[in-house]
Amino acid sequence: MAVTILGICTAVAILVPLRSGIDVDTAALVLVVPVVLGVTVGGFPAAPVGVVAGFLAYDFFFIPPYYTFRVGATHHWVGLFVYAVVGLAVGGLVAQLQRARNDSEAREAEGRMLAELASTPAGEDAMEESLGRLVHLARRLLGLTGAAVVLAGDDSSLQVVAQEGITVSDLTLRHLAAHRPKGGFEEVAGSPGVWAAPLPVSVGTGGAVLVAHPASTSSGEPEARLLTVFAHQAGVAVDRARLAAESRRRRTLEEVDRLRSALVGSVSHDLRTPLASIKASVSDLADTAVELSDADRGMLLRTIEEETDRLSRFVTNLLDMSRIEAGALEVRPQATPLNELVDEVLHRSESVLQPRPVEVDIADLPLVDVDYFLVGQVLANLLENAGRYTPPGTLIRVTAAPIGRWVEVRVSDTGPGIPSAERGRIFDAFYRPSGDTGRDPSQGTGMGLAICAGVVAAHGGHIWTEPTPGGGATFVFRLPAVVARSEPPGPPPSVTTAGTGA
Amino acid sequence: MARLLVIDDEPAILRVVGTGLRARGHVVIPAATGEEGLSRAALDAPDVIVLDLGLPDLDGVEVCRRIRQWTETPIIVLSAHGSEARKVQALDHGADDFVTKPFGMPELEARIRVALRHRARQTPDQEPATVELGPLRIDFGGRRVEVDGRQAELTAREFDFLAFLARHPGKVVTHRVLLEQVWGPGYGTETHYLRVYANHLRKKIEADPAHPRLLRTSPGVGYQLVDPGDGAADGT
Repeated sequence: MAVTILGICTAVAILVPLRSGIDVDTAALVLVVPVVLGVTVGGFPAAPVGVVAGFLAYDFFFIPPYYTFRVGATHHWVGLFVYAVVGLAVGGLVAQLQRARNDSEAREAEGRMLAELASTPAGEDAMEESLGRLVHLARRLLGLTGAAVVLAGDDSSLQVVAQEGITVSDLTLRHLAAHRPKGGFEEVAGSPGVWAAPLPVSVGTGGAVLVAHPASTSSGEPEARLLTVFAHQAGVAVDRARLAAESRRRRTLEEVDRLRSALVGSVSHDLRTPLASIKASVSDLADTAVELSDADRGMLLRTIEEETDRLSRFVTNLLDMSRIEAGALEVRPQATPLNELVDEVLHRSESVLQPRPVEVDIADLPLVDVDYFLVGQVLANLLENAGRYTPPGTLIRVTAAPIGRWVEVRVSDTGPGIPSAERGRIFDAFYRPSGDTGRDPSQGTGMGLAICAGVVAAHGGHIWTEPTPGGGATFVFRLPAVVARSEPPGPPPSVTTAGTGA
Repeated sequence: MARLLVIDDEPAILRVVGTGLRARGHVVIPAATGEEGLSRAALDAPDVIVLDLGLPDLDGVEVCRRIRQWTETPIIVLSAHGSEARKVQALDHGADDFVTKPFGMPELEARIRVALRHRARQTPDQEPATVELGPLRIDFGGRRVEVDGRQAELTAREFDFLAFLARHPGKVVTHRVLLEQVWGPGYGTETHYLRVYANHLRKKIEADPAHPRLLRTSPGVGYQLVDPGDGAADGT
């Protein structure tokens, strides 16, 4: 408004000395300029003020007789009237334009906020985290004193999942539980200035979104829209987190299912095959109608023994496997001389290795801190594998060397080797090499290497496979060495650590 | 004494079955793979083939099918419990009988005896005019059935049912094959028909219909008409 008055004064000051040289109507045209300027700055209310002031100034300074408000000639009335109409019309138009520009600026700002709000709850992280981020952002963007999201549990009691700026009291929660907000934002009974809206979710139980305004004035239209978006985004974040959890759960279940069917396949074949041989042998021995030679009888008995051993090995594997899968493998480490362990296992594995020469090269080694029985089984499984997948006569080597705090054991053969594509997968439970139809009983159960990996991992080490130079497969695993004690052997150091028993 | 080809990839089974059958006076030809089995079947002309369905190189059903392309030598399949579908497949593709693992040697031997006897009966290529199975006498031409010399009154469908089984004595005929052959093409899943007709037939031909000795059921698989004199213990 000040701009208008100032503009009119300036215009008058410039035009009065030139009054004699210019037309009366020109003065009217010039006096429209301050009105337009005023409206541009001050909005439409400046228009009537400008028009009235301009009208008076025009009359007073430029319509003869000068310096009176009287209008001499009738045609000057026309000039004055036209000035008023033009001033008002132009003022109105300019004001409208200005309003439109302001609107679009506000809308743009709102759009930016919307976009920012909408892009928050990304990722698959925990629901609490994404809601926390959202609440923080909403508070900043919408200028709220506080914002919170509460979620109904399975027993339909409400719990705070995220809050910032306000602390949602148990009382408020009870109020909310009793009177769930139905539509848009409603003021929460007993908590003035706190507004709540339902949390729109499509999966599972709902909840509410709470906001606290700086002044508890009812919010304007664009702000209400943003609040709704905030509530929606909170709903989306909850949905997304729940769906992600659901899909994780499903993936786990699928994996369990795959393992289970592989297990059923493996068990039905590997349990049944030795059972069939045993039953056939026993029924033959028991049949009084047949006369068996001593050699036959001996062969049948031997078969029964071997097949029983096979069954027993399989059941042991199965139990170990389920312990490893359940994370319930009990490791009882003790200081163990590796060469003794290797000798014992080699002796045990003689039957599966023959006729294959075995070379052992175990240098001076520190003791290893391992479970004697379990690591023995790792070695036995690797040797059994070597015996199973290599042609008779293949050289098998067992070597070990200290590497830092570890002792690295290598079991290598010069057999057909493992295709590089399968190296990563052979340690998976029930994985069988390609080309193995799973029916050939001379092949494994698909558990041996998985057990090896489980046992070695339980000792803190790891196992992998690499090609033997010149062809063949090498299995390498690292076991923890017993940490060397500085004191000389003498009185045994007092045992303070658990787990050295057995 | 007979020449028996045993096809099984499991060395222990091959060894044990071989020993048991040899001790019972048979000549046993072992084969550890499907391919080896096929060539042994061609070269050694066995009287009966014992075939494990789970072979590493060839599917057992495929082995059945290939053998059936050129010989009617009876095939007894060894199948694991729970693989009924594959057993039925094998029977549909020409196998005669099955033994479920784990089995006893006397049972396997009895099945082999049944197969041998029916093979002896089938040897002439011409279809016989009559078949006798224990007390049962079936006259295909006259469409007459006698039990212990007394005529049994069968409906046309009952006779067709019995006659089809009697043309393949000792062979386990699957539901599908029976329905297709007796009821006609387009049938194949209506196993309840078979149950009803088998019941009616047993009342007319069995001495004790509750404990049939002639018309046997292989649950979930099919029916088998056997000579009670073969002594195959009903192990199923």
